[in-house]
Amino acid sequence: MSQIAGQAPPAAAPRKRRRLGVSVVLCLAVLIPIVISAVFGSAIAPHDPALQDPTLGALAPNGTYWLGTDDLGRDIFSRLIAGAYTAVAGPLLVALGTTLTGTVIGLLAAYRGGWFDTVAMRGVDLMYALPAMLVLIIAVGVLGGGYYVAVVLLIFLTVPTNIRLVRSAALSQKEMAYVESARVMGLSPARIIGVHILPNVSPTVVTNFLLDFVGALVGLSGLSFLGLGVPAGTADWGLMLAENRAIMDLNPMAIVAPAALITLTATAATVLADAAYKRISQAGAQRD
Amino acid sequence: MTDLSTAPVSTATDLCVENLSIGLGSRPLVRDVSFTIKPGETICLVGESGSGKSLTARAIAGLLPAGLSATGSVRLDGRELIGRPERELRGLRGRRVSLLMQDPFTMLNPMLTAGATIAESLPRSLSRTAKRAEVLRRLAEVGITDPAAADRYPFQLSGGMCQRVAMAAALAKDPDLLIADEPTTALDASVQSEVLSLLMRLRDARGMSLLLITHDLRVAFSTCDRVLVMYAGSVVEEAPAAALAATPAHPYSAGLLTAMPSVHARRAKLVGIPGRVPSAADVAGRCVFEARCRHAVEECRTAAPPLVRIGEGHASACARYEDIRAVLNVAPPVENDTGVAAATTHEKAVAVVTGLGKDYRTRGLRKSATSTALHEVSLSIGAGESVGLVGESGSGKSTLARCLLGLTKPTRGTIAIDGVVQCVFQDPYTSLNPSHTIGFALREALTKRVPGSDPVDVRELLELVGLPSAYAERRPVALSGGERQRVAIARALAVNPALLICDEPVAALDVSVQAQVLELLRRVNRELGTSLLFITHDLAVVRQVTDRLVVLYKGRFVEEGPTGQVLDKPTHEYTQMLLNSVLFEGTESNA
Repeated sequence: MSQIAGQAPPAAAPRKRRRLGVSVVLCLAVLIPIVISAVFGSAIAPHDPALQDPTLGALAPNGTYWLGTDDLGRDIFSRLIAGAYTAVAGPLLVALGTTLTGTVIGLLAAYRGGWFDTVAMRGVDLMYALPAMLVLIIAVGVLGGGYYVAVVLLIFLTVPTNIRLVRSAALSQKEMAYVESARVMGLSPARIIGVHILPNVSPTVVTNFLLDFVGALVGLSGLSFLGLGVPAGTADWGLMLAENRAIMDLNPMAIVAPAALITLTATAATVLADAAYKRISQAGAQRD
Repeated sequence: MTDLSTAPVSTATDLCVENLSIGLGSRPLVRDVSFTIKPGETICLVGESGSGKSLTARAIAGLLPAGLSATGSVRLDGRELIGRPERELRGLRGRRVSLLMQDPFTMLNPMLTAGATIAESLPRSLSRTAKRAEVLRRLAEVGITDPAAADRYPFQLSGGMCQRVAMAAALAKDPDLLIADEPTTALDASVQSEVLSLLMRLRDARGMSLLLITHDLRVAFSTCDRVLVMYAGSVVEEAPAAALAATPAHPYSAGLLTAMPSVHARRAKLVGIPGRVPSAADVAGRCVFEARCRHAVEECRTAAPPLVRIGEGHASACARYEDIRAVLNVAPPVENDTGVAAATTHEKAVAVVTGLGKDYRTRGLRKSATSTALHEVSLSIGAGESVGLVGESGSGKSTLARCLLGLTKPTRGTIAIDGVVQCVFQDPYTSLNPSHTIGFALREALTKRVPGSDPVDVRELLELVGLPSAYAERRPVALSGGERQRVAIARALAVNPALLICDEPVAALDVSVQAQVLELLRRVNRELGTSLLFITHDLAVVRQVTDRLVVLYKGRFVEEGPTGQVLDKPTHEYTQMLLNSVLFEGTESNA
């Protein structure tokens, strides 16, 4: 549609602020309370999430315990709030770690090419061949587990995807005349990569970040469910899911609520990633 | 309602378009276009990008993009097409009206052989052998006589061959009307004239009507009976081709003719049309061209002038035609360029290329092959000189430029450069970083300014290329193609280069904008003394800007000399062939 695209906007039109879409608002409505819970944790919980009262047993939701209690008498709602910490902190670390290393290696591989590209990409191929979840379970099992061991391993296992995505986005930018002009001008490679290519692959980078978060959330919850992540007794959504299976018929909310939270958080972050990609790519050279 | 696909088919088709308007919701894109095509006639819709010419063609074929709607009337042999259900139109397309598109490479399905592409549109009842024979006959009709070509895939064919195959496929159902949308724009000049004359031959042999869409007046003049000039969604002039070339009756058509570079003479000053094409929605209720017209008066702003008949088949939508007719077809002054390069001696060379060669190695699964893009070429560019490098695609002209710019390492030979080299690339849409403002790009370039040059700032740079200083705050997305090329030139000049390499800098621009950018480059060369290496496939463009011309053919220089001399009296047969493919320009030059 060159006829329409070719028409330039009127001369002095001020840049319009686009409104946030309904889906974005909904996602933020889910994510913001979760982040607040992660920051303040038990401080904002109605009860002490670790306080046991075996005399209560597993109660169904009621006026005091909004989502009921588990078989040790701990308040489910408070434990969900406290559990937001492991649901946000670990995935956030994984997302930061992978996006950072993935973006740097991906950009360098695309721009430099040659042996660096070959080594990076064959390394990526090798990593792709590894069954990630299996490696994770075995490694965490052998190393004695622990939440942060799992975080480090997840970073290592997710990086290849990021490298590949950033590299291909950067490769298509590298061919553009503006990059060649920058080379002809004698700008340093660091400047060309950082100032010219990076802003134009930012849609990919931002999306990677959010999707890595989602992947890590599901991965870490899965490990906790298997008993390989956080230590027993910690308030963690995945672990709650595993521990409360036995009281399913006494207090169904004890497993429905953490499962729903994992799903909601993951979905919200995914939808947000999609919206972020669309929004950022409208301003730059990378379009789909 | 009769079913069109089974209705009796007359051999001659009469297409009648009346008050055709196209809109996106309430936003008009094309307004009140009317014309008729008689059997065997060729009509040309000419216009720059944004004029609505392609939309008009698509509306006639019933292929408007989703969301756009057409009103008015398009009648084929008296039957209304607007508002027909898609099912009925489908029976009509190909059989009665066929469409040929611009890009030969994306138009053909890359997974189908040339033969399969054509066979797809042939009657299903044919047996396999009969179909094969028919395919070969159809290929021969478009000038492909090698039967092996039927089994080749698009990527194995050249652009011209692809366009021929596409043409055979478009004609497979023997349509009465062929709509060709920029059919030769993506092709080399020599192939372009071949494909156009093939199209003319087929039209005459089949007696079909032709609706040709083009931005190039030369294409229109050499093929059409009648030309409709479109601007901002409206027809501003309708005229027999010869009359339009000789006596344009609308300021816009006259402006286009003036802006068109000539291969026969160098214009003393290249004059474009200032401003940019408005959207059809913004010029409702007034003359569409008023904002860019130097003859505009109050009455042009208050009402849209209708298309008024002024002669035999000649109509103009200019309200002031009677007042200004005398000044509309004044031939622009030319300057003598046949002796320029010989007269000026350039003592100091800014670039000396000796025995330069470049091989490309392609590694296949089993064997690797070497192809030579550039054989030993030697070239010297003097200080302040403007050298043209002409060649078709694959001639190695871009390889030479990339070697000079240091973007590619040559395989053989040496390059000695005195000073800094900068470049302006072809595609205005990728040559500026969309993430940064114009000011950012220029400031960045200024940090690389050659030490010892006079200091300049962003405002002066923008002024130098004729842009207001407020543009520093804008991002490339808010600029038109011509404006972006100006910024690219400003960015190159910020470094104060000794040599500016321009690789097809105006190939992607509309004619009216092209003239302005060419004039700017000419001023850069003449007033700033920057040497130019101007790379292009367009002989008319190269004549306007360069003193000396080098013709590159298959990686070798085949002819070299003062531009005017080479173009007026070519000695090498390849140069002669190139010049013979130059289309009729309308006005025979007196140079």
